[in-house]
Amino acid sequence: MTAAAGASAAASIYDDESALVEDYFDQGWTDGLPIVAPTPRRVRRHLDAAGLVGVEIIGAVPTRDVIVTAEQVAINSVMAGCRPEYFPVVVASLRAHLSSLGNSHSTTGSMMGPAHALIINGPMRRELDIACGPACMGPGFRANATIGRAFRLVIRNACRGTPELFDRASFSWPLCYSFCFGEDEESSAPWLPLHVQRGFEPSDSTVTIASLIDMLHISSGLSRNPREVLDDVARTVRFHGTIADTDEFIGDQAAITFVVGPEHMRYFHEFNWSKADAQTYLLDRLQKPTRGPNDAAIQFTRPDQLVFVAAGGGGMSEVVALMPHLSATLTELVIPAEPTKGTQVDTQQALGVLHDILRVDGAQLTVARAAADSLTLLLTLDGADCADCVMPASILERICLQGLHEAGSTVSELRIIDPRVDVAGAGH
Amino acid sequence: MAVIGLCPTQPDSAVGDTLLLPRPEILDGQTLGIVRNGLFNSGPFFDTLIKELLEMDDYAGVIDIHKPSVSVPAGPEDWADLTAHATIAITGFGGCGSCSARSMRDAIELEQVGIPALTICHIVLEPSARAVAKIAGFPDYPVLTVGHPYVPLATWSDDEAHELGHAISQKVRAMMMGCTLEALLTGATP
Repeated sequence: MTAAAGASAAASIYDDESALVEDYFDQGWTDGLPIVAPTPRRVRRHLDAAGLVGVEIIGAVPTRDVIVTAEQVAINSVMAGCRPEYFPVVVASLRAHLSSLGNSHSTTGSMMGPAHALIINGPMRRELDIACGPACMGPGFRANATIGRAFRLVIRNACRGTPELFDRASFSWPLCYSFCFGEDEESSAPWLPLHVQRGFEPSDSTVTIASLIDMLHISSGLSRNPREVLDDVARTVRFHGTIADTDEFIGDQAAITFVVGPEHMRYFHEFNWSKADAQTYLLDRLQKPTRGPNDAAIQFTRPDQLVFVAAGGGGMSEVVALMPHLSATLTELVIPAEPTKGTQVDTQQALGVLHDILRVDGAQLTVARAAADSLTLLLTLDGADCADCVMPASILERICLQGLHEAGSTVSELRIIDPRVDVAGAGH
Repeated sequence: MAVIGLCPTQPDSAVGDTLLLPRPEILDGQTLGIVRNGLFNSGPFFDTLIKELLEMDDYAGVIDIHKPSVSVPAGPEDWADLTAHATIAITGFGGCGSCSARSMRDAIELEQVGIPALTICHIVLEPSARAVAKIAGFPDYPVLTVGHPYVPLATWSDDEAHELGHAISQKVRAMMMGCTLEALLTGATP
């Protein structure tokens, strides 16, 4: 399925990257933080990293008349600061989120201001340096921060998820900037990784999306075995309750995600409790009839609606519970691709029209330096009767860049050395 | 150094403004459709509203459907039943961020298959409903808003819910026959 033929993002030309960033702020296209300029070349590199063409449809939000293309995802991925090799993870996260049970409109428009956790499994965690250990839910890790940010920028920009349109969050919260971490599969062995539990191969890389309206840090420092840990978890979850256990649309695809750190993981290993053992025990505790106010029976029916993930660092004896909004917790395969070469366009041919105009004035442009995404041209005025009559370099740069873009060139940055202002090759 | 930047947003909708269907001059003989989103305690509100509407006019019948979640479309069988038999409809209660927009979308989709409709939402969420209406080409789609003392989210007591159904039943009736909310507020009701 592809978007309408010829549909691609509008392009604007800026004097420089700073001007672009300021304009994107002014347009409301950022999350309040500076972005990386989404030039055609950078966007194309992201698409190549996932083997996608720009018009390919990643998903839709029908209530909002939104169709999300691979190009839109790539633009926002560049803006977020992702490296091209992160892009397949971003794509997989959005395929899951934009599916029917991802319930994008609900989970990104609710007054509760839900966030989304992106949980990464498989070898790609190591390849991309996705943090799984100490402080993995916090700042400082480029892959974690930018993948999560790209996901949210797509929601904001491509899915109309702004306060002016469909984001009705009364308060929102900082997790809506970015929330991505990996499962610490190595340290938690022999626990099965989440994606293996869900039917994927250990060698697959996946992303699991979980919407959340609350994050409970369940302290259980006095516990010395799995039962005591999970009794504390059950007590806290029953006190909190969940809105997701009686939703007919999501049904038994609703799940609560429990992130178990090393301090508690040692007890599960010591007593030989698998994830399945933990799920079965906890479900029983959660299903018990209510004992009165502030004690809700959780109406889940299957143990796998309690998702266990190992992550974090030593120190705090805590389980972190991600309390869901109205979406299924979905796992999607990450599919990278070998990068392909971008389109090569003959620069001289693309500048042909401009060459003819300048020749009338006795001026000409020659290529001084060329790279895949940047070009430096030299303006010579030796044959010009009136050097000052030739268009200024700043205007020539915009015209040249427009022409190159329309011809499909990969050049996204262009400079003209103008002898009227440049001395010995100095920049203007 | 000149730089090209690509736009990260959704292109503007290509749909132009669309005329509403004519509203019935009388409601006798109409088949009333109700699309409930099931938001918290909105049930008693709709129960009272329907009861009072049926007392005011001689409807041929009522198709009363309940969606499986607050912000998703109706189930396919329910939707088929509704669109096959209803001749006029009410959607709601748009009391949360996403369900208000979805209830508006439900109303517009009914309009598009020939069933004039009206959506009811909390005034706090009117911008969300209006955003859907504008995108779909119906910028002036009929929306009946309710506000204080009735809170959004329909976290009402049963008494509050029944009271609200009673309080707006006349306005709902008037708007189903084409009266605008502005006219209602100025007293020019049919």
